[in-house]
Amino acid sequence: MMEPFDPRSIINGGMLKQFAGQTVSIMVRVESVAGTTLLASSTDNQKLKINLPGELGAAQGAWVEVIGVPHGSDSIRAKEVIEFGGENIDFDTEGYNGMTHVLNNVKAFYRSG
Amino acid sequence: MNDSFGDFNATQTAPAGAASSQKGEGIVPLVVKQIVDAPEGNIEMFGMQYAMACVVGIVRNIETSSTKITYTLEDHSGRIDAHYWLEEGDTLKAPEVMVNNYVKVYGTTRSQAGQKTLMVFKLLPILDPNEVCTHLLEVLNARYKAEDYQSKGGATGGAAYSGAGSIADFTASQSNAIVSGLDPKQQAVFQAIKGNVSEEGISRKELKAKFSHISNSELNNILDFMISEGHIYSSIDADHFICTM
Repeated sequence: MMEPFDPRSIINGGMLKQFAGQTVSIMVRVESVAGTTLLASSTDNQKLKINLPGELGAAQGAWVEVIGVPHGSDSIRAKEVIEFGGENIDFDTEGYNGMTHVLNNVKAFYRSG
Repeated sequence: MNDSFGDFNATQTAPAGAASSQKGEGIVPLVVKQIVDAPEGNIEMFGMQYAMACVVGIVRNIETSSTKITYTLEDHSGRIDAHYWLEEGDTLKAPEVMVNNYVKVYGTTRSQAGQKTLMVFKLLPILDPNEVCTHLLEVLNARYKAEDYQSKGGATGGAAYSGAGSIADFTASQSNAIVSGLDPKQQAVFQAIKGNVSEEGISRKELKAKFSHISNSELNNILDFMISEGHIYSSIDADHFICTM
């Protein structure tokens, strides 16, 4: 059964502190997984510790999307992790950082005329 | 590529009661909340109408019936149902899509009892997270470019966003029509021809007198070039010219 929808903000490592307690989505690169703890690095080179809801099969170096709630500047309690099918993805970290910055700082995004 | 395009239009005719005088063209990238918040009617952004929307989201649910497959799509801003109509007769293969994976959907929007849904034209799985990031950048670009375009008064501000087929309005005024593709000398000769209002047009002799600083052979070349380009034509004889505009 689907969980009810919860809006989230798309962020990078440097913005974790700003969004403490709120649901976020963040792209991270898998460094290592041990049980329900994922050690990952963000697009802006922050080292993050992510508490997983379950097992994660992602390979080291893979980019995954973590959806969850940050606490502190380097921890996230993940609700889920979204994996992508592609292998050895060259993820554009600069593009992602730019996008998160713009998306969270633009004015009146939901206006349409 | 678009095998089902014809059929898709066929199934569309009934609900397309929104037969507004302005039929939009082109595809606009959107996030779910923009669709859900939009008023009924055609997809519109700052006065510009679009035929279709492009959305990227996570598939949260897949429900199959005999006539359609309903995907529940979710992005960071909201959730929406997307209907993929199945065709009779054809062994139509439903898109290979798994729950909790990203897809890109092209389609039209529909309002039913205040609820918005997507009518899927094309659904593609996304394997590269760069595509998700790119989509969000395109969404941002579309939103702010559209506003910019509108505030600059439309066509005069420059090319329309997403090349939605609108050529910038080109109203040639009597004396000031600038024809593109002509160098300054050619342009000057053209203006002289255009400025002549007699029935038979301006003669080669008159042009030579007007443009005494241009050699005969050069002037002849200019005239030949403009004839071949279709800007002018010869009228009563090979030495009288009228412009085509």
